Amino acid sequence: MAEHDTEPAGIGADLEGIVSRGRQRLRAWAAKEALAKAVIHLFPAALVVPCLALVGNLVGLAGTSLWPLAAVPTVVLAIVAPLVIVAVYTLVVVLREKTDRRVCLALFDTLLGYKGRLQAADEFLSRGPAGPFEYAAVEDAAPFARQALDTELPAVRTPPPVLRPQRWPLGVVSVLVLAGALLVSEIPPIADNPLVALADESPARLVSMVETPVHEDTEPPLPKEFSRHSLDSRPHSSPGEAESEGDSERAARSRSGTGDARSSTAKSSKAASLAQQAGKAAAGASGEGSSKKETPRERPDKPRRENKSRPDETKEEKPEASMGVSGGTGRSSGSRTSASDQAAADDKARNDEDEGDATDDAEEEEDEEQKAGSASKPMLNNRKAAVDRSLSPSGLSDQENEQANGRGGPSGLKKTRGVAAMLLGVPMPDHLRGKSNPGRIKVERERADPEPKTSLAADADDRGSRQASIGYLPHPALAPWMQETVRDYFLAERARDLAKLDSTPNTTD
Amino acid sequence: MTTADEARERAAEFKAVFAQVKTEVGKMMVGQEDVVDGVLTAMMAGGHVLLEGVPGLGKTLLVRSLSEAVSLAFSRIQFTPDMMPADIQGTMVLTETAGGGHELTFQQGPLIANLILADEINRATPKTQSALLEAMQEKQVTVGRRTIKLEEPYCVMATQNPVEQEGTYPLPEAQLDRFLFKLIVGYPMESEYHAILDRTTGADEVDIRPVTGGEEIRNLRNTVRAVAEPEAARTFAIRLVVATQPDSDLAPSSVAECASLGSSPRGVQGLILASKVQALLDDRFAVSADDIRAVALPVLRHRILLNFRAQANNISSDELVEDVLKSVRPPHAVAA
Repeated sequence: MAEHDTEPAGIGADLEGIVSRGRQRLRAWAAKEALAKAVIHLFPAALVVPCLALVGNLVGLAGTSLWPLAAVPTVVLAIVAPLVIVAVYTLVVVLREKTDRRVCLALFDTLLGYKGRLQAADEFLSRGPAGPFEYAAVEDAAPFARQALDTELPAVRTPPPVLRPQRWPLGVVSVLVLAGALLVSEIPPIADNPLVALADESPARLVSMVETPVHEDTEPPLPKEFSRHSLDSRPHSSPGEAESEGDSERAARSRSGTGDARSSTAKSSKAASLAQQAGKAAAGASGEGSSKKETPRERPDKPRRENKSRPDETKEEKPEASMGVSGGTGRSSGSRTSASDQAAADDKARNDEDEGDATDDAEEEEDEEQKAGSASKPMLNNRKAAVDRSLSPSGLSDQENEQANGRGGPSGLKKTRGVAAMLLGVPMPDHLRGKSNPGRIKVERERADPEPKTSLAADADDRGSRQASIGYLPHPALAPWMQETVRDYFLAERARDLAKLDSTPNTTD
Repeated sequence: MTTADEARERAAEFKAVFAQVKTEVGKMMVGQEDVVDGVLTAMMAGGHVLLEGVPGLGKTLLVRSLSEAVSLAFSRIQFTPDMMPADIQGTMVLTETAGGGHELTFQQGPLIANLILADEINRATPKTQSALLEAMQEKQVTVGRRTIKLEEPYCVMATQNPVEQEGTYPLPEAQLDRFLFKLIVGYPMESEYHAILDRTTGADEVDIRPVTGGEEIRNLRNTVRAVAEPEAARTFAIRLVVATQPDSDLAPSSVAECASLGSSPRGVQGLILASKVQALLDDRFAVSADDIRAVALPVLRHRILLNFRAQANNISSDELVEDVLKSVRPPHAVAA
């Protein structure tokens, strides 16, 4: 610092005081903000203890409970725990708050409108003022620093901690979970339940227990659901069961139309279709169609994964059934047995289950509808794919179509109407090369006789030769002094050339 | 006298001269306080000014009045489409010597003066406009093998009309960047029209007397450069300029979408120099973030090049600068 310049009395101490006040203010501010953030998580935190208690008690149903607390301590803990979590979060944030010295000064500069005087003075003091303006800036800041120490900072309004209404249901949920946990804790462990002991018994033993008349006073009756479930899931071992199974299989076959009666029907329909149809492709299809008309069948009861509310579900099943019927009629499937039909039906059912994609379903439905319809409309079997209307850049379709009739029918030519036809939707290369033809030239000739016309004759005479001057010829636009300059230049050049010639020694002498 | 007293004295002198010049200019120029302040700030900071406004708002009058008030070598160039660089820089001409002879001598153009009024600068072709580049940045003119140093203070004040696009040539970016300020001259307020009529349609002639000269202005420019700049203010100015560059991390979304070019380092230089003038006018000896904010718009508006999206959505560079000012905070600032 220069000789005459000393640090303004006490500005360093004043700045230190401002920094410490600023730190307190910023720390309080950070605490408020942390509390506001933590309160947002109050309800989610309230879920922690009830969930732990519930899980612990549920585990305890199977054996030893993992939740050691009784009901009252659990309730107390559920209330206290979220508050503790919020408090700890706030405390951690406040303790981790490291406030820069410059931020503290900037706080006063901003809130008191000092336009950076305190920050600038602190910076210049810390590095030592280098120029007159830095000294002046430090001196200028001194009264502001004193004033800042005496002034209470204006209160900055921070939003109060708000419990968000969207999270209130979490409080209710936590109460319910807590109640559930307490209720579960009251239920005795499952190992004490007699039903659990029964579940360990072998199926044969259970069956014998069911069939054996039981004295009511000695053994309690089994619940209906329990007995049904255990019976259904038992292995088929007894002769009575095999018999009942055979009956159900037969019923299933009759439902799916693969029995002997069905095969005879198929044979008769094959004969009928052979008599009707000469074409080989139409034979199987017509057989399917006739059988479809004649034998209304039930849908096989197979499990469906799709939504039952789909209206086209029955539609989807029809072709499948017709395939089964045509097993004895069609050419390709005429040698099928009823067993193979059953297997095919089962495969089909399995495939149906696997198909989750709606698009695949739709495609299959379309194909099957086409097959089914081919019996009633045999000519449609020869139908081609729809004409591709998309145009290539040349304006012509790339698709060759033998059905094109050249009259805008299913041809490859562009066939659009309306404004779209007027707009070039696709880039169209210009096929015109060179200049366009001006068109046909029509020449008409008229007959006309020549008419004589009179003209005056001019006699030639001598004009004589030019004697006078040719007049004024303008000189190139040069001012007189320019002409003089040019003349002087050339005269000087000529003189120099002459001097050069004179100075040249004459070799002939 | 302490060094601090010296600084105070220089600052007071600066403020006094500034006020005197402003008063003299105000005798002729009615209203437009911001524009007058901007022109004087640029002159004291050592920069050039581009005045943009519709015809009849007194742009040329302002510069002419200033030239009368500061007693500097003044020349006016009326830019026209057929003007050539030699017309403003100067060229070799054949002159008559005292002895009756003739010789080629350099005839300096109007560019060689202290205060240049480049009137309707966008009417000249880019070729002619480019003749200003060297003079504005390096304060010298090179013609043939001759380089002429221009005398300080050197200040180019150009005017242009944003409405007329017929027969005009927009200024190239390199030249725009050389202007410290681009000031938009708006219409005067209703109350100011009376004073305008009094001064322009009455019998009394307005007399503007020179209150300062070239030497004093050079000293004042040195005073401006001596103003202290704290690290926080400098960092803030740098961040502002970086935020105008569309690819930078500091750029707000509007700048990233609508700007194709941001400010160059000349923008930071301009921000700091102009904010030093602001600090002196505000009786301070160090630059603050508020000073930088005050001059950010005229310093940065012509340095942001808008892209097609901005033009299609009618977004101006002023809006982008406002967005930058909102998004960039000074270092150590506390969100109050």
